[in-house]
Amino acid sequence: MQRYIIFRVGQSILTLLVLTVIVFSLARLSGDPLDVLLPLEATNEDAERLRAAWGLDRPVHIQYFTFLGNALTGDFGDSLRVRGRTAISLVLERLPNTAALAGVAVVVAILIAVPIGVLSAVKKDSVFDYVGKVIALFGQSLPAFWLGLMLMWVFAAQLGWFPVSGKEHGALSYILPAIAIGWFQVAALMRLVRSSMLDVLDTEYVKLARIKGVAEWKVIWKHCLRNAAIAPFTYFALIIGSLMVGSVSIEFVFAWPGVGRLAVDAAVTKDFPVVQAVVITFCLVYIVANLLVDIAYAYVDPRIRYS
Amino acid sequence: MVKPTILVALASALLLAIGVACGGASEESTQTTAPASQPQAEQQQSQTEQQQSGGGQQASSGAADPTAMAPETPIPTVVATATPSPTSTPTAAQETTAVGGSLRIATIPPVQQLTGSWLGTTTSANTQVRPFTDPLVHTDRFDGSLVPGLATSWEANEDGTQWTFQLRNDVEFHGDWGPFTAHDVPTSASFIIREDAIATDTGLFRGLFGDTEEEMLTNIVALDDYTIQFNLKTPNSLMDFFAGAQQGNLFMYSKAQYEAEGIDQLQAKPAGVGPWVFEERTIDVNILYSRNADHYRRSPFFEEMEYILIPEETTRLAQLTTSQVQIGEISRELHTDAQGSGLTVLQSELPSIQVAFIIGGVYNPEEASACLTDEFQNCFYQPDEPHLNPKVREAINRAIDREEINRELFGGIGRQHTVWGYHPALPGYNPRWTEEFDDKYGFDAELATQLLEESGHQGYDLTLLLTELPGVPEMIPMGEAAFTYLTNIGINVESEAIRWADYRAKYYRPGKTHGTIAATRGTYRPADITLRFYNRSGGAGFWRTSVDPMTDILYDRATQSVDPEVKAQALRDLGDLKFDLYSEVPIVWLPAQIVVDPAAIGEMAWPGNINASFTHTEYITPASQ
Repeated sequence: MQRYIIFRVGQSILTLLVLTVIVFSLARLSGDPLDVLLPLEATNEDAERLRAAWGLDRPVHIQYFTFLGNALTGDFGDSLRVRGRTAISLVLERLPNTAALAGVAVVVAILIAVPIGVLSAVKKDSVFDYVGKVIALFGQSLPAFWLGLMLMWVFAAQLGWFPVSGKEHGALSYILPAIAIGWFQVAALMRLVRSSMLDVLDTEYVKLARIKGVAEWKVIWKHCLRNAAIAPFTYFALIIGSLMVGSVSIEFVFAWPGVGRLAVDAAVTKDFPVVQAVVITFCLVYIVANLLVDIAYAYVDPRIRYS
Repeated sequence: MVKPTILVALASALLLAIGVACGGASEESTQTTAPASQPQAEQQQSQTEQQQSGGGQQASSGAADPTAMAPETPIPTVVATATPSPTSTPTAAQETTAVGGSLRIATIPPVQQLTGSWLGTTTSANTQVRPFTDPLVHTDRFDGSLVPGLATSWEANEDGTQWTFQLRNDVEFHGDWGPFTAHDVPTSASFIIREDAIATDTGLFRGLFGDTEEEMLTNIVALDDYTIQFNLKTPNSLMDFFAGAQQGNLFMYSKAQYEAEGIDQLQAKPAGVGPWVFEERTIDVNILYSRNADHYRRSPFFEEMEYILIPEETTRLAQLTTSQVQIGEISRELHTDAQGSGLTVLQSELPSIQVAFIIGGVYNPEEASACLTDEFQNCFYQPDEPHLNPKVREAINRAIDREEINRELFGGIGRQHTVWGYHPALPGYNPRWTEEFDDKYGFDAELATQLLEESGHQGYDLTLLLTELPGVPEMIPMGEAAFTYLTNIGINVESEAIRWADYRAKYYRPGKTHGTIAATRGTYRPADITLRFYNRSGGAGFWRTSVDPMTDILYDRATQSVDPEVKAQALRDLGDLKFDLYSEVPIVWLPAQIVVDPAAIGEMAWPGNINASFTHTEYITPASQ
């Protein structure tokens, strides 16, 4: 187990290293930040002066190694757009907002997906199963930003039940963006719960429990769901990472002050340091989530052993 | 199996829920009229300003005018003179009583989020800095003229190399940073040429006052506590303009704060002399200001003002319809929806934006000799460029149906635009252009085809660059329309979708606009400012669209003379060249527009000629007033 963990950590570090090359290269390929940030009227002399001041006139490989060396200490440089702030400080300032929204979205996804998934399995080919399929269909096919706009327009703008945007209204502020983000995951999670439940429902020990007269709700929610939860659990841990990454468009729509929106703004203005800090932070979250899932997997299912 | 009735019932319930949710809008009133008229005190203030400037107009709704594309009526303005008219007593402080509450404004997040005016464009500065601190010269909100603000009067010497401003002696910085004096001016000006500065005026100020802070401080001198003198390295007739907010980045910061706390703290919590006091800013979320109850010019009615930064337009509209904000930046395509929800579209007092197509490759032949020494090693002037032929340029102008563009894309709010850079209300305009516009520029596809044939360039290859700039989302569809118009007269048009930043990097900065045409937009400002960027050959003239070698001579004559007659004549002569030789493809003048909640906002007027969608927020009155 210990060897496996060391191996996986090594893999993760290598992945991050490759990632820094990709992120750095793509950021540079997207163009010159001075073309966005400088006023329309700026002269070529202005552009050259700033290029030198920001170190953008140095050879690219020198820029990369400087970036890498600094990044190892958590220094991604100063934001080009928000002057006087470091890129990482902007990311860390926003990360809790994104994490909180992703957390609520996970809860929303579980609260919707698990009951429907279980019901779909237990009442296979019933109205519940068909409704579940329809929800799964919508979940997979509706773009999150469109769903977000619709939710906002109906439940905030027209009915006035929730605030339109921002996070200053406390718990209520989370509901609509969390549904919009979590909805996509509902479909996959629900189908996963359903298929796992179908497998478990057909096992001998379930039949035995029923023969012994165990209450049906207990058979389903305690014995079946517990055993059927392994696959969804793996998926659930993985989607925490993807929910954070997937929050980009929703944070934009709901003016949510998270990392996703920061990433969009930084990409549009070619704010390299912030783009790099965001992407690497997101990847770090994703890699760590994967690592933890792999490790936790062994604990959840004692049959699994690593060699 | 599922019973069909259950599915039908479920579907019906869902539709009913959505129907109920959306149905509320139908009962909303449709209000397209202007908000309530000005309160008495406000009217007095307006009259004072109008008397000073000689004109003015009220805010009006954004309803389309069927008489669109009519020529502009000249609006009297105060212009830069050697002995400018604002030599009277300072504008009396306007007493207002706070009504409490917060003025909440949903805006597009600025590209640069700043409190230091030297760290961004004039647009960014006017949005974020102007509320909490003032420039030396104020801008009348009704007619856009330069009127006394921190400076009570100003004058230039004979050759425009020395400008002297008299300052008010009763202005205090916010907080405990003491009185505003002439000693704060050089410090504020020096910020604009800092190493990290990316202000619109950075290049200009370096040219006028020197590259270093030391040099600048020797050229901007406090003669006494309330007299500041600007000694320019080259003559310039527009120093009062640059000392105002219309174009300038020269906002006043406290020298005492800078020396005591340094530049970082000054940016974190800047003390200003504006009608609002800067409170706090959360990047990409909001900017909060509180009321300055003792402002020399005007204390706001509201206790605080908050900009809510919302990138998605539909979200901004939803904020308005739910009364979570009172003012919102909403693009024209959603104005009908906004009005349908009972909101009001307001227009700026003056035209704000000029829209045109720039014909590429029209470089000054005199530059040909400089080609080999150019830093980009490019030869800007290429003799075989079709666009050098005036007949080709006329053909392009004749091929485009401006009225159709105005009607279909701008909803008819556009006004006639005759020469790029020029407006009838600004110095240098020649009324002949208005009279002759239809004859010389009127839509005539047949004539355009014939002109192209005569030029010998029929079927030439043209790259139509589809690009856009903030404030005019119609630039792309306008380009698509031009594609059809120009193809119809036999030009071999290819379109290229390109972001403005890439257009700048790839085409116009290195002087490679040959065989291209691209839509652009500019602001309402003295013609020489626009010409400086678009038509002059060297210096800041990065576009270098020059139809005649006289362009540079006339431009220098206009900008270096403080005699209004000489200046206006030079500008007029230059405009004549542009008009007669079809230098660009002027399309329309547009007002700036803003959407307000009439239940919350009483009166709101802003000139629109400043590089921001709205300004003068201290004058906004609540509906209850």
